[in-house]
Amino acid sequence: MEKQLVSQIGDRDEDLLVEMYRQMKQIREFEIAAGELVRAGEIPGPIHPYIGQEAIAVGTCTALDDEDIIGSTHRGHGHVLAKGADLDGMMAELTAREAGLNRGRGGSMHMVDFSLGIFGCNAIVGASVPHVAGGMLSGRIDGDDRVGVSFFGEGAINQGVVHETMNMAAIWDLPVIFVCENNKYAVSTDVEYAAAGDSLASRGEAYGIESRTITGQNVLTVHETISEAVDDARAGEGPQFVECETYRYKGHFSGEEAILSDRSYRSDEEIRDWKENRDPIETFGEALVESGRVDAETLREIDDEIDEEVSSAVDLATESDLPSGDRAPENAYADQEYPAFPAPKYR
Amino acid sequence: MSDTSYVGAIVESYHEVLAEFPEAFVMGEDVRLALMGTTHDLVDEYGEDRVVDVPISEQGFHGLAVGAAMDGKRPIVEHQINTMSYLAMDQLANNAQRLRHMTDGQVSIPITITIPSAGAPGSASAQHSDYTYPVLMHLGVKVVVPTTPTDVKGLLHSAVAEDDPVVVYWPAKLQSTREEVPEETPEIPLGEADVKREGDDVTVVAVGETVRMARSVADDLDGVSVEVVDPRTLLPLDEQTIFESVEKTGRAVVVDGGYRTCGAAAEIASRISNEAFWSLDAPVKRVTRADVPISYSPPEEEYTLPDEETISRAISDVVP
Repeated sequence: MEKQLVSQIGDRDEDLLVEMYRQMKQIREFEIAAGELVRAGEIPGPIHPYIGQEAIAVGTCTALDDEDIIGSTHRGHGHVLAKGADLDGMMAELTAREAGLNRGRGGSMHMVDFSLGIFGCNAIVGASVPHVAGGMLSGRIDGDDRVGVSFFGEGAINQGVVHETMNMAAIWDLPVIFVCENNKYAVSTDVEYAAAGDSLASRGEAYGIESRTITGQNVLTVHETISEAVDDARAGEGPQFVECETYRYKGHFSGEEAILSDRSYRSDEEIRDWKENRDPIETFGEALVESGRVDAETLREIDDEIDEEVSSAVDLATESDLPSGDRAPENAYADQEYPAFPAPKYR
Repeated sequence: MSDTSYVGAIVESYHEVLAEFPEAFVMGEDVRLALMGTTHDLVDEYGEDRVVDVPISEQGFHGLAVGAAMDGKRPIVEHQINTMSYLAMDQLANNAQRLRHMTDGQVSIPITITIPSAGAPGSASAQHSDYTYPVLMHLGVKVVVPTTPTDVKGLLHSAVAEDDPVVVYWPAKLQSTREEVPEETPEIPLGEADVKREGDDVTVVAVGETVRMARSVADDLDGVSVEVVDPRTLLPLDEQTIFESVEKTGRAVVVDGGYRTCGAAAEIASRISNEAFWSLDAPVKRVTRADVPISYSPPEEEYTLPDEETISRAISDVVP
């Protein structure tokens, strides 16, 4: 993959190359730090690490304009970071602090920032897919030219709502890019077991949607493919489907190793193969240096900057205030002036 | 004033809200054709972008409505059949209703969902005869049940203006009723009950088509003065109007066409017992549908649903 990357790098814009590296590294370090916070008992809920899949979020979001929108999954940290969400706010959200992106209301699985077109991570598999299409339906009423990316895992490919949405996007030519991150396992259920048919891309084809399968470990391949899909969608050619083959290094969620310590659903060899031979950050960093476009020193400086920024986010996330419990009824409804509403727990 | 039918009031209301709210649009199955008689001429006036026929994909199009709401629109989703809200439950419960709180107020989901609801529309059988609102109330979704053409006009407008999801039920058995409606759409905020008939001896809190039954029972009763209170909005509930009435009469019967267990009547009866207990001279009685699915068989359907005879019996049980 490295050799291929070197030739893909060619004379691409150096700022973009560096930015891709920076973002992938930032997601990786964010996830590592979050894992440490889990072990330190600082994160009250589960997290779903994105480690190993960084090239998809970064390759995709760097192909989007600021006003374009994304919908994300329960494994959403990488997507929202790549779309520009505040790293401090995200880390503080994990520790349920006032300073969190959702002021501690959502946690790992529900981060949003509508000002950045981030329509939200979603803890129900497949549920954010129609939200992106709805945003595009709204865009059509307004006559604008935004596109929307709906990220979902291969587990969601069997959810009815994803199919209902692909059908509607196709009949209405909505500019939705369906990005299916196939990391092979829905918790422990192998995609080979769970998904009928020859390929996941054939699910898109069934709706007449332009569909393709690519490696999700090569950030430039993702970026190129999604850029083409975005151009087509923006030009009115309707929805697009891109399956990205990828792999998560960690368990499905932060509590998995404790639960499944004595029984595993994948082999150590398989995990090692992906880590050692197809790591999206390692291979890209090496290819950047080998291509002569970015020197190793520059990458080291980026690594150091990210270390600092992540460690300062961790400090904020562990030292800032928890909200008080009596804030719970706030923002349950737009208008809470009605008497006895929302109902209290005792009366 | 003009003589208007219940369905006519719905049609007029849709036209009015689409004119008033540029961000509103209607989506539903067969809405361009106006299959249910409620969306006549809407597509001619507002075009296909704002009157959207959807494929049969309830979960999917409710999800699109949530996404459009996130993007600043006010989608109005029209159901053709009362039980379809069950198919859309993830998008209603986990998404539309929770997103404001989950994001600490970063987003509003101002969706209006309209449901032609039914104690039973007449042998539509179990899968087409339901009031789904107890489930939605349990989840905290705002619920409105207009019982007169005037209420339809005022309440649909308020529902669409609301910045939260609101579900509006059109009781099937009321849809041919008529009354004089003011020329100008009346302002009826959510959470405001209406005393549909004044009386002194017993309060009958009635929902949907049972308001009409309760009024008719009250008119026929000799020697008992019945007050009929129509909550109009089940969540938020105007408890105050109900409590004040019970404090005056000392007796309460709650009537609803939905299931009995954990139903709207159970909630209202519980609140009366809790907050107006010392005004009560008798236990609070409930008249609801029996806890069985609605049968296709007309005699069984009749046996299961609340009726005037049962309301009358409940009144005589609490009034000495």
